Amino acid sequence: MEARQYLTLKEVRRRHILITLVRTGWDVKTASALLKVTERYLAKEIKKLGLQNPEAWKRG
Amino acid sequence: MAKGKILVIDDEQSQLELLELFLTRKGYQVRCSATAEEGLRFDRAFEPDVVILDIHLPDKDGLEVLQELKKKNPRSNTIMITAYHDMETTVKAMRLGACEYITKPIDVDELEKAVTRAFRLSAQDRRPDSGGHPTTPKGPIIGNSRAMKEIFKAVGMLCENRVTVLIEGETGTGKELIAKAIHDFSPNRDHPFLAINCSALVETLLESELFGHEKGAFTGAHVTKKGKFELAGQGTIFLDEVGEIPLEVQAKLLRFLQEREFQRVGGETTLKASARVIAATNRDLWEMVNRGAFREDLYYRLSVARIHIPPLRERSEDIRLLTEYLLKKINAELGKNIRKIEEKAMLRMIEYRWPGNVRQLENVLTRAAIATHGEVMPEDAVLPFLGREMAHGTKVDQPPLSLQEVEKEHILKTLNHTGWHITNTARILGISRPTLRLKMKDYKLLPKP
Repeated sequence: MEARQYLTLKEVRRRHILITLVRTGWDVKTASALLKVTERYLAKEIKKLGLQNPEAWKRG
Repeated sequence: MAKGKILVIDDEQSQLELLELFLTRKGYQVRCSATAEEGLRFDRAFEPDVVILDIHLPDKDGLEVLQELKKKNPRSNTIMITAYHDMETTVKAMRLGACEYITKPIDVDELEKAVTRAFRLSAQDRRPDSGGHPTTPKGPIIGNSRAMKEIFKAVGMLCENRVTVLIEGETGTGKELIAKAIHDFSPNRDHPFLAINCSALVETLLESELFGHEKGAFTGAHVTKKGKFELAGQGTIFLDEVGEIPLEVQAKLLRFLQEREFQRVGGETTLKASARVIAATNRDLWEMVNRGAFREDLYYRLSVARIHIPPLRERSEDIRLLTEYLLKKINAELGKNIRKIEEKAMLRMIEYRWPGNVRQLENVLTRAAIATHGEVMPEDAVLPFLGREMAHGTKVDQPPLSLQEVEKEHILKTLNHTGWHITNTARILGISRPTLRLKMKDYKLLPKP
């Protein structure tokens, strides 16, 4: 399980979506525009990949 | 007919209504309460199967309420809701007998799953009553990602029993911290926690470290020495890099796990010991089993419970939180007063792949802190330590790539790596060959003539 040089496609997609979300402050609208996918699609992927904004609770 | 009785205790009116509506629709009989006092009264009269309890209540601490609920009605199962998420509260709640833990904002799917599991548990009624003794929080394990929350839950459950645990994770992910947390939260926390790195010692030495040796067992064995298993008593033995244990020692370890018996090196008498074993590995043990480098029976003995710690690159969402914590620690160590990390530097760190995981993050931050003068850590201080291994060659200053561009680039990179071998490429990417062909067609990826 040493860090592999080559990731699976799923891992790459997850990472890229995550990074984009973190960069946009979890603004799904902006993130989906950058990723060039629909908001609906991105929302579905976020759920599927189990991504969560760790800062969400701060906003209550 | 109602599926079961649920009591919800939450001071937030809108949330209370939402939960009531949702659960009633699902066919449960629901009772709601906005205060701890009222909730406890309802609990007596209503006798719910499951209680959903907010940790922040106006009149009482949620953990206290949990304790009281458990005392009065040990059969019911409790799901905790909280706005915060940290290791300490989770472990406390799990120890006090909460069976599930969900965080705000509430995700209805997560809620439903938790409710289903809680009902299954109360039907089986197999939860041993955990005597709620206070805990000493230890182990700075930081994370708010879903994967880490699952790990906190696992720690909370495993500290209550003594089953053997196998912790898997890349180097630097904090395997020992998790093992230590399981020990520190266990009823045997006052007994020793002994860590031993199985790769650091030669075979004979490892065997004598673990099991001890008799006087004269080998050259240099001038006195009888007790091994770690004896020394640990009721405590915990942490076997790091367990995959490195030579086959001969594996047999001895297996015997210990099966019979709780062993002999010192050069000894005749059979000794008994009851230490709990937690093993860790950064290698794929199952693959080693298939190669014949690791005993299959030992593998099963070790992995009664398994915890997989994800690499940092799979939980980049935790990097902000981690840097906040680490920076405080580093400030204290170095006598610095760095309050902030420049946003550009933060983005670099979020996008970096971190082959050395959290340990590497701490090293990089320490070195960057030394290079920082002032209260803000600039990008220049961080950059030299991140190597060239940025995520997918994206520059922070450039607009980020679309999902398709990233996919295409990665497929191309992998194809070039395998020399355009379709089967190997598909295997690395974790997709089928037809899917790969389809994607190559879509992205117009063709080998150079």
